[in-house]
Amino acid sequence: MTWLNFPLYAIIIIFLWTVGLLLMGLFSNKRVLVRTAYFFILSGIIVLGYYIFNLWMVLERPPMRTLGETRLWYSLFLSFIGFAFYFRWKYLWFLVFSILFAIMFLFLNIIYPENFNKTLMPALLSPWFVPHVIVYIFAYATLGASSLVALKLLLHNNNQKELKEPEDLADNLVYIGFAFLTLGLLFGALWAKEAWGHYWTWDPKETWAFLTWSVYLIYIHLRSKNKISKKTSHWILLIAFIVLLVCWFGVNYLPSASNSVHTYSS
Amino acid sequence: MGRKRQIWTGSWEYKEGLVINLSLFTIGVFLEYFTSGGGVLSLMQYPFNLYFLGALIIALFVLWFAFRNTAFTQWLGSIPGAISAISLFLFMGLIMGFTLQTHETEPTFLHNIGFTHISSSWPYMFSILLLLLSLGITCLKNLIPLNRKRLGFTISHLGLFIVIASANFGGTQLQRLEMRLQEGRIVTYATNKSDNQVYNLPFAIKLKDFILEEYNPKLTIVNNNTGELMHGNGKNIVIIDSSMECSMMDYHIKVEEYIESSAKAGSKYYFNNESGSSPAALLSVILNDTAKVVGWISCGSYNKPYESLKLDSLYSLVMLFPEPKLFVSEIQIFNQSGEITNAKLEVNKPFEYDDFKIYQLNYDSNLGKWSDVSIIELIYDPWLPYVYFGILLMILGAFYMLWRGATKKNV
Repeated sequence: MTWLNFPLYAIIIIFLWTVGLLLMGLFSNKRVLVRTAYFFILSGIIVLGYYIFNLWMVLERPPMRTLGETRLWYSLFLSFIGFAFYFRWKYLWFLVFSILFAIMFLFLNIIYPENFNKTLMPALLSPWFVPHVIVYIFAYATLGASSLVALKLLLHNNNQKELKEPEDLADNLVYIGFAFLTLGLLFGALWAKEAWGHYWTWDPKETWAFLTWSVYLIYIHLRSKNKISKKTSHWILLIAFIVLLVCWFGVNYLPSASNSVHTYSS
Repeated sequence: MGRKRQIWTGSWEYKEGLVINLSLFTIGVFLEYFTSGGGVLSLMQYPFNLYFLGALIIALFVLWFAFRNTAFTQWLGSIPGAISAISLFLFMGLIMGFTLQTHETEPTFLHNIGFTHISSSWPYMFSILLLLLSLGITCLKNLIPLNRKRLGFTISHLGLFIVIASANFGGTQLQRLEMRLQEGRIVTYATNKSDNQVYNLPFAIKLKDFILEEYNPKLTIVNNNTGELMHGNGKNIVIIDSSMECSMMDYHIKVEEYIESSAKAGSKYYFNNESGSSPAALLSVILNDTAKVVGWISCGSYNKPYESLKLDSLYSLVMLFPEPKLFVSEIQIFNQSGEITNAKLEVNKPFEYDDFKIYQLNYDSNLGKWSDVSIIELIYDPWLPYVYFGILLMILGAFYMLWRGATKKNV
């Protein structure tokens, strides 16, 4: 079991998940088929877990060192969390979203196999690396979904009646996303103390992470008393997501972004 | 909400918040300007940071117990108060996000109004004060008397209060001292990088050994004329090892022999482990099933030349410098009573000694793996336990939030 087997495994997993999602989406009122769908999605997660476990054994180290390896974990965690949350709240779209995101990561690993061997600088070799990144990516995914809900509500604001449910959805998503964002930020701070000697130095990545966090913080406070118009709150979600994107892509994706890391490798 | 309320009458909301924010910001910028961008750091040195923090906490209790029903206290503990306070802090963040933070003292206009060193400027300090007042009143409101239903809410707010207060009031006591160690020598002093002052330490440190492990080097194609790496978005970069075989552009490349540490003698490379020896590989290259090129490549080192393999008039194969995987300093610390402590410093694994955390920082990168110099950093951060306590509360608050988010739908 090595990366050479990966495309085969990935295709099996993607197949299982796709069938599961289709069954759920198309036959949501037939209990037997929905149960079957659970089985397919769970099988996909188990196959992925099995692959990671084997890779771990073969490599004789945790497969968390390269980008390709961490993407496997994203896929595993995202699909698992999506499934667990679906069980808890019955938000089908949330399951769909997490599975699609997980599939995207598997695809990235098929398309860019040459990244598997990439070396990581010593600063990234830390037990904080995986939780920090996974929690952050999950927060980004959830908050992205909340913006999609907001966009949907802004575009369909004529028939206000039936939209109570998506409002709660957007809020719930922001709550979950914000909690994960907070955890990611704090894990980052704890890691920074171990790696660079200080938990917060206001380097550009940190500044933008803080800005993202603050905008969602304002949203949550504004919504807590329902004092603003719905339209305004949807706009805030869209703007917040733009700030988030600046933080994610604008400043560079790994926690190594700016000055700090040069101390180690240049 | 319907009819218009006169500003400063009844309970304060966003209008008042805006006026308060604008005033604090303007006063801050003026203070900064009149001190030529001096900032607040000099005022916040120990023990004054303690006095200011004490004054803030007393002010919070006085506001809560003596002036609870005033419009100001009520506003601080309200949603509009919280949003105003966050907005002002966010605005500080925006300035930092768009202006280069240099912390240099060149008297440009931006420096004079504090924009080049926001996190030590007057406007920032005012925004921190407003935020702490708002957070503090919110906490007191739920703590005295204790509101059990809002415990999770209070925990996250209290955590944030503690983090912001300790980071900003205690941060001025943080000291970062750099030490340059050389194998076999004992060093007793360190340099504070912020003011280049040299300090004598109550202990001495000796570097026993500096170890640097490297990844295998990478192979790529270079354009002979321009020197440009033809890495093709990473597709034409592979890691060399003794069994490597790969295709890059139209070339099929096979490693015939790989020596991790070598020196050249005549036209060949042999195993060698002296300072400056470098990795080398014997490659055979096939182009379109015909032309075969065989030759050695090496990335060289500080005292050995590199060698590339010319494929044709346009391209050559080159070995890139190996990247560091891990670097470790084995040190001995001697204190004044003669005790010796052995320690290993590694990136991401600092060592605690006395009041300091000791970090592996750097090495002589020209010498790379043959460096006998290690640069380490000693950090004194007495407020760290409080910051960690605040972070712990915030983590608990985040978990509470996940749980609450989950149940909100069913309310």
